[in-house]
Amino acid sequence: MFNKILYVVSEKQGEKQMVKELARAHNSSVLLSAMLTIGCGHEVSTEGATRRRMLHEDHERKSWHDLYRLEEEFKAEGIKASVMAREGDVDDIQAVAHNTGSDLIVLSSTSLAGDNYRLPEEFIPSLPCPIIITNAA
Amino acid sequence: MVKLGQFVRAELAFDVPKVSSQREVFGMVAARLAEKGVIPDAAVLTEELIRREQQGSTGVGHGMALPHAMLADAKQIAVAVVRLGSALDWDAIDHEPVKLLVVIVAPVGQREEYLPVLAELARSLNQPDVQDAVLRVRDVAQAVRAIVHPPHESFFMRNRRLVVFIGVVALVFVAAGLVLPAIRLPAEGMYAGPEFARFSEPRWLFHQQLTITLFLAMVVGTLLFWRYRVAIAAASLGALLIAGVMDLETTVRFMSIPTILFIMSMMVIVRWLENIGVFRYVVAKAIQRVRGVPWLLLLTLMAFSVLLGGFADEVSAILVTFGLALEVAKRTKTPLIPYLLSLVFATNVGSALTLVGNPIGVYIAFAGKLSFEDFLRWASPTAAVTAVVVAGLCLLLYRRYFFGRRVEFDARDMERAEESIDPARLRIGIITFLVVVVLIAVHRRIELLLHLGDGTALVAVALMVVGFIVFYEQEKGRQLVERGIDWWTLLFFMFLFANAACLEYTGVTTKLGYVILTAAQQLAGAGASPAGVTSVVTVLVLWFSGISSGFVDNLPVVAALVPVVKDLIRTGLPHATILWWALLFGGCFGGNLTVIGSTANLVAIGAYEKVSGKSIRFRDWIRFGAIITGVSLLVATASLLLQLGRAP
Repeated sequence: MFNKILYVVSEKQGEKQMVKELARAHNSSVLLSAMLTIGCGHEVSTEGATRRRMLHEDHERKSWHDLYRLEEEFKAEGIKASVMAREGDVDDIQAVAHNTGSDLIVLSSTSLAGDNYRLPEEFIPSLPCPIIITNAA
Repeated sequence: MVKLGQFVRAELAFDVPKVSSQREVFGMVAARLAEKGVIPDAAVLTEELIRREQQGSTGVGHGMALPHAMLADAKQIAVAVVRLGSALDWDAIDHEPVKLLVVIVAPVGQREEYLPVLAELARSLNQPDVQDAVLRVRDVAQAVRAIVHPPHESFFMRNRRLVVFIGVVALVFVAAGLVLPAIRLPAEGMYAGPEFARFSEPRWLFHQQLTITLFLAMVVGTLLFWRYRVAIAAASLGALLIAGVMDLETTVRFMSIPTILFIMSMMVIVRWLENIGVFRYVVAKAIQRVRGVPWLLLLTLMAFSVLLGGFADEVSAILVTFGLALEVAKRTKTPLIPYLLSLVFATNVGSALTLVGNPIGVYIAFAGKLSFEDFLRWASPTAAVTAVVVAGLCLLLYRRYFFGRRVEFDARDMERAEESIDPARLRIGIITFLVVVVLIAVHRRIELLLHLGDGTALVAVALMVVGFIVFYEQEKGRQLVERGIDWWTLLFFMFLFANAACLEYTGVTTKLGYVILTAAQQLAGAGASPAGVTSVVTVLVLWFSGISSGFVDNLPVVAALVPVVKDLIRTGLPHATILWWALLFGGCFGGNLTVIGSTANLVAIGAYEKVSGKSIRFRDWIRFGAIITGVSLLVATASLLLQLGRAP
């Protein structure tokens, strides 16, 4: 039913097991995705521009590292997986899901928090496919 | 941090002119790595890379792939950079064929070292300037250098917007210091009297220099740092107060609170109608009736953009019509850009239709003491004719998408969307909207009947409707007021109005008006009639506000020109009230010129980028925007000049 699952990877990755089970049940491929503005946490900051850039680069490195670690883990368990990261926040998930032809989005509620917090009802209506929002706790 | 230079080596990089399959290119990479002693057996690596691709594509988008594998007998972590002469299909996430491969191989035991290398490579190659450099350079060794030492912008390039801002502000300050003392108002005619003579005193000249510098700093700052526009406007106003240019009471008066109250009330009303689904319902109903004819679908959507732009507000108009256009474009397999541009053009033109369509109209109405009926008489016919011309032009420019084919158009989803609307609330919404339009339309008559000041009934009607809506919505009423009003924008408007009015207070706009008048007299020629001078001034105001509104936010332009128009009217020019309409058309139509010309453009582009993942370039917009704006301003010029003699 779900050929491609867009998994927006959060810091805690509490929803990882559920994504694996869904992928196995539906024989889906998983697109492990990082939205690089989510969790960056220093959009409005007293830091200088250079320091902000360095923090952002560190955040990018960590995001890619987590993505590839997960990719290894998924592939080792026989689940098809690809990675992608792009600049953007929760509002950009719609375009990612649309462009990648995803059939299901899995997102942690922590991704909706932060400086640009969103209520689910604010962005769900514009999504091209169903979404599962997991409880961060 | 990982030093990529340790792993990305020039001897492992090569170009492949032509390749037909993943197996072939992996074979080449494995052969090169075996030859350099990184791995003992090329065939093992080839098979492993293919196996891993089958488990999920390593294409990361933008024409790049990062195949990676850990092998038991690999000697070290190594990275091979391969550029493909002919792009290869890779099932990448963005469906783009791959032109650059960065293959990473690592021994099984070095997993903890290998993942950071992979992450650093992915991060580096995700940077647009690195992608550009790697694919653009001729020599593959240069490509390796671009990955290892990503191009970094200099301090000035990184902070170029700040440098431009400081440069412009300094330039304006110096230029104002030189030019303003040189403009001397004649001590005769309407400029006779101490209130004008003081504008040449040193203290007032300094205030003028400071005011114009801070105002233009605000305009340029808003353009360069849009997110901080409120901060910039607030700081500018604070500086004027500290410098003693204005006192607190005058500042508050200049904030044009009636204008703010009216815009605020309209924001609540329009958001409420949007929430109920009134606009979407009406437009969707109309769309369903014209299924199958592409050009008629576009025209219907444009017509509603004009009407909603005129009677609701431009942002709501574009959100509703472009939202439906997305569905129409998808079903009719038409590109989005023609819809995007046509609807934005129609919305901006439509926002000149009435007093409520655009904050510019509201501000002009209060400043010029103009009524809704004045707008119906002077603005609506010209805006309607311009809208028809713009619609024809759009169909002409995009004829290949809208003519010569009939499309299957299934509107069932739209019908389903309507089912979710509560019919009782919809009825109340439609009735309220009609009541608002009628009461606003007759506000001047109410004011005359009840002996109220100009604009009082306009604000009162809007506030009473807000009161009704909040009562009607009960619990949700507070939420509607808190969230329905764009407080950020309203604050910006208040600071902007005060900053702009300060130009009038210090005499800057009086001098500017005098310069425009003198220039118009010279352009009209020595024997020109006063009405001829008014014609030239009208054309100057219309085209100046139109073109400048395309490049900076249109409200600051209009806010700065409103006192100029007031002064020009005070000079006794015949039929000078026509200048209000020149300003309105300039501000509204000029918004079509560039991507940043109006709020509707930015909202529509935001929606387009979200849906398509693509952005629209400045030059792609201006190619069509310049034609539409030029033609719109020509129509407005003809209309205003033809009606000049009838203006009070």
